Amino acid sequence: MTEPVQQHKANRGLVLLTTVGILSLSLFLQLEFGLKPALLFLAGTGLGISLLHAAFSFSTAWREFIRCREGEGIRSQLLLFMLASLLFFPLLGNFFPQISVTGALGPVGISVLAGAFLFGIGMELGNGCGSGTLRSIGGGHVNMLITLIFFIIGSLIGTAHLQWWLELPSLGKISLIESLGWLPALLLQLVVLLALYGLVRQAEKRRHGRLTTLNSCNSDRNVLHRMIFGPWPLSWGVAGLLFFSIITLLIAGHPWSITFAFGLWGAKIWTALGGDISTLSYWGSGYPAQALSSSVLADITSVMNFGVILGATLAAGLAGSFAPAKEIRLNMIINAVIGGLLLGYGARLAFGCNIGGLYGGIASGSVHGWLWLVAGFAGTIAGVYIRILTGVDRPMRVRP
Amino acid sequence: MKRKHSKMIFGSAISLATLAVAIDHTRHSLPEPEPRRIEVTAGTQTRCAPDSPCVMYDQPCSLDSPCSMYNNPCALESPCSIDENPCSIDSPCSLYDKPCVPEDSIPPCAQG
Repeated sequence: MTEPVQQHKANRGLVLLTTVGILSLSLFLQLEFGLKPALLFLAGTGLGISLLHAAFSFSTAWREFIRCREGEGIRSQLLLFMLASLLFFPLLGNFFPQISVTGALGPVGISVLAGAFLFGIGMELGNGCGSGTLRSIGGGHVNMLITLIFFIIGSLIGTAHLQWWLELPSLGKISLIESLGWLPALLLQLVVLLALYGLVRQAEKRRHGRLTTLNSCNSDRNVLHRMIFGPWPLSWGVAGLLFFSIITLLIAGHPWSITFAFGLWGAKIWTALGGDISTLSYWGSGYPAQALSSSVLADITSVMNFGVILGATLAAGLAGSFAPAKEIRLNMIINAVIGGLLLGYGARLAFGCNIGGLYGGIASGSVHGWLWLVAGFAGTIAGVYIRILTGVDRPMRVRP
Repeated sequence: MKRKHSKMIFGSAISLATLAVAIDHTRHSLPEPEPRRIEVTAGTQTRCAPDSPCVMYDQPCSLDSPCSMYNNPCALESPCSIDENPCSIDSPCSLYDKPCVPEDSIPPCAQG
């Protein structure tokens, strides 16, 4: 039996400061832009709390499965995809015609294939995905600042090259909901997700002879105490992410996304430093142009990202785990730089990160989400081996 | 790296980021030197000039229109991305060229 993890005392100063920050910013957004952005910011905060308290991570979960067949992280993600599909599909399939929402659809093509593969490598080198980077920043992990900076730079470079990538072969957007109808599409998707869940479960059981339940949590705190101060079991993380994802879909009218904001921040910083992006068609018209010439607080993805970071900071303050002491080696810095660039560049090409492209895509019944899953997982395998080659991780022990 | 150093670095980074956001917001919130707002009245409906300050949140891409910032960001990750979308580069919905919705479906312009 495992010992309960050591519980830290809440950092009251940080909790107070973050709470004041969250309330002030939500009030400001409401006064300046209206209720909707304020609510979306608070939804972001809820997502950040869920991510940190449940230690919900794509990069670590995928790496642990590849290295040692620890499958509870991936199983929790598959469960999240299944539950989200159950809620998203009827809404996107106009089962409730009075609710107008749109899904995250992207082209099924080389751009997404290459982008998700690069993102998978970057996720392992940079030690975080889209949501994981925001969560770790909120949790005060200094090394992730390096990843975020280069994530932003990579995103900006990606916007410069995107047009070229989009000219490569593509089948266009394919929506399962539009092709099959929402109910058959939902049934098909649930069957595939359940099959994947079974495969992961089987691999885990074969290697370890047991299964870690998604409700397990090494804490001797009572339920209410754990709810506030953490840690959460993965199942609570799934519930939190699902709840705030559906809130986001209903309020924003589209699924949760993260990485558009990184490119926007990069473009704003670059122009503020005197750089010229007028030659980039991406920023020349449509929403990107509008976002670039407006306050960053007018951009929904930016506002939600700020919410995720502050939510994670609040959760880290409550858990007493903010800014952990950590050894940062040179090879980790180099990997963070390269990883960050690949994350940003890959996310732009792949029409989103593990949230906007993978989670949003699959929950919307878009085939590009499935392509993202396959290519992203292949990239993660490559990333795991690069970590070993660069000395960040020990070699894997070969087990039957 | 000691925890104290981590906190100091984070404090600095968050302060810097807050300052950058504040500067960016203030820069975009400054009033135009000349009033560029042109109101076009169509019956009881009014919309704003494409680059007027009211475009983002009032008209023609108001909060309730399909093209507004908070309804439908038309970002590349969003469903209404480059192709086939109401807010794409070549569509009649480019925010700074044309209204996001057909003339006859423009919602009433927010006052002010």
